[in-house]
Amino acid sequence: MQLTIKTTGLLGKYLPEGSSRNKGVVELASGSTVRQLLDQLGIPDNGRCHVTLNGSLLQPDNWNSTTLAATDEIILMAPLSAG
Amino acid sequence: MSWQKQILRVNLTNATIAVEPLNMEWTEDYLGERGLATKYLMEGMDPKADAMGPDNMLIFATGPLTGTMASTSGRFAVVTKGPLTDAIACSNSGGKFGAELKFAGYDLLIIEGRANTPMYLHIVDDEIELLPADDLWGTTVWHTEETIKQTHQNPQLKVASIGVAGEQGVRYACVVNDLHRAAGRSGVGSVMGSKNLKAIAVHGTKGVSVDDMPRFMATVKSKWQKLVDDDGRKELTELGTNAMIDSMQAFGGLPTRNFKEVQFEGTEKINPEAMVTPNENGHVNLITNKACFGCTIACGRVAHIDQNHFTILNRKEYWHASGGLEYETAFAFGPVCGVDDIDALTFAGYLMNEHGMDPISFGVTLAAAMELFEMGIITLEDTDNVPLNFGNAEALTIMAEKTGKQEGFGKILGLGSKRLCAKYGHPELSMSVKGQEFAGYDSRALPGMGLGYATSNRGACHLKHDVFAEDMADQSASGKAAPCKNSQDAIATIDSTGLCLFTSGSWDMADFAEQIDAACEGDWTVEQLEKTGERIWNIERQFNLAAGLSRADDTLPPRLLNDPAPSGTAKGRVCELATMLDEYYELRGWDADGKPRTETLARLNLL
Repeated sequence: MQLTIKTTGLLGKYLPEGSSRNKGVVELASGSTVRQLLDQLGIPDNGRCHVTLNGSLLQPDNWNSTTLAATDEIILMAPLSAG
Repeated sequence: MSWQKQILRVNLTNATIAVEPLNMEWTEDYLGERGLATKYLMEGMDPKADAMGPDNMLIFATGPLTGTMASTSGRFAVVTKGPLTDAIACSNSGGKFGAELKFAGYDLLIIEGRANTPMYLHIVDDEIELLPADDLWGTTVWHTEETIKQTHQNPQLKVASIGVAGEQGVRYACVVNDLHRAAGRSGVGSVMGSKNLKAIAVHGTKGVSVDDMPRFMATVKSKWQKLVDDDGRKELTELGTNAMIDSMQAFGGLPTRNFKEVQFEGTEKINPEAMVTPNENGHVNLITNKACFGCTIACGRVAHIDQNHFTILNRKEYWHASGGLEYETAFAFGPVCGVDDIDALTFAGYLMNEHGMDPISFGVTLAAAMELFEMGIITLEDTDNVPLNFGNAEALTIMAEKTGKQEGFGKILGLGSKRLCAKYGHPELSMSVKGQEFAGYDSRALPGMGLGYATSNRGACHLKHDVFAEDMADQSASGKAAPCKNSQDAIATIDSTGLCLFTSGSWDMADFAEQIDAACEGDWTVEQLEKTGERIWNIERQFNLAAGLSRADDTLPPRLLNDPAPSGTAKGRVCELATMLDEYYELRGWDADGKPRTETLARLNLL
């Protein structure tokens, strides 16, 4: 399936080639989990990526058990900090 | 010994200038900059004094690492009693002014009294003079800095000055240094104006020594490398602080239209990508980034405005490069006022620097006026016939200019949102704590931030605590008191070093301790720094209590306490402050009224 991904901060560098800075389309195996998506994109597990799925914050504990659908709105978000 | 061990005390009433030894015992308890200046303030004035009166003190304070080879060592603080809040004001700035003051040989500059006529202070090492500023009074920050450098034929002078906003008592006027950096919050510029002091110009040639040079250089090099390698630092360098606008939008914590909403439909027109994307005329907003003295992050932005844009059409004086959008300016002119015009936002930012005003307080005050206008409480008769609807980019820039020049409705906007909303009978619409307006983080999505806002000694502020990680892990109010307290104490320490808070995403307290220990006499450990931070927080609290503040001031506007977030990850949530506040007081060792218990004061050597 194809999934549209939005990113914030510098996480766009993990999007597939040809993506815009903060938005890209990823080809993903059906039934893939959030964790598998992050692994496929090569995003390191260093606490610098947060996930909102359909408007809700998805905690890392749930990344392995949450499967994705092509209609999902997913945002990979850089950590918040004082600006 | 990176201290200069000297303070410069200037009494404007008597026109006296004195160089005094720095109280080194106080440096052991309060470090420098924010902490040390607060101790001098507490000992030197009555906290009940009128913030705009001659009995208020205005202190420019460097830290032990200001002007050294440590990364980000350009910081200084302006500490005084603030006219926006009638509480302690501690406003931090970068640029080059702080390091230059240190190079001239002074850890602190203390301004007392009030001059009979406008003056400016000219410092070149040991040569210090008070000079008439009649010709500068009524002019802008940019004109003042240029004129002083020309007058003295000295381009090496570093200048901190105020605009008309500071002269005429805008409650959130800044002290602007090096044209584009500012001690921005709480109205420290109006304190300077109330003293008839237009500017401070300084040139120093003495340098700064450190206690153990080989160890210091090895230490700062290793810390520099740690900064270089950190992803958070890379984001600040490449995107600037405005990177936060996309994350806050995604999170649903981006205050919009005077905090009625938490997400803004126009972020993609004002975010970092918009800053580098050509508009219909091929114009690109962003030119480059820039750094303060000694900074290896360079989060600052340099921008220019499309010459065809309505804001600067036929106004060549604004066709130059100047300070670009940062997150707080983008938030305060953009979402909170409902405006998505990037050039209008950039121009409003220019005006803040030129006239010397805090963009956060201005923007949130204008947003309150916009809400009152849309409610019909304020009419065109009040607003000089400018329709103050949310989203009106022209209204944003017209009102920024009117406020900077103190003309028409700009005089009312210069009061700040608390006084403006009270004037029109709707105090609940002021999005502020202790009278100071919120930064761009909504407390319903970030409850720990809400607790930090409510308890901040200088009023609502996003730079005095850091509970982001905990708020993202759990959006409930549970467990937020401890990280809020601990981060408040840690930041009080960092604000007292002379280094930038933006290193704290890369460095822990041990990194700061190693650098201070190598630079200063004595033993500086993590434990000592943590206790120092707690002491600073408590002496600030003592100042505020003596000034007349109480638990009643540790609160949030009813909108954040009662009206659920309408969208975003915290949809349906309010900020549950009451339960967090009780736990916070207990952890602080304060009684139920928010007063430090005797044993707490004794433990911190504050009795």
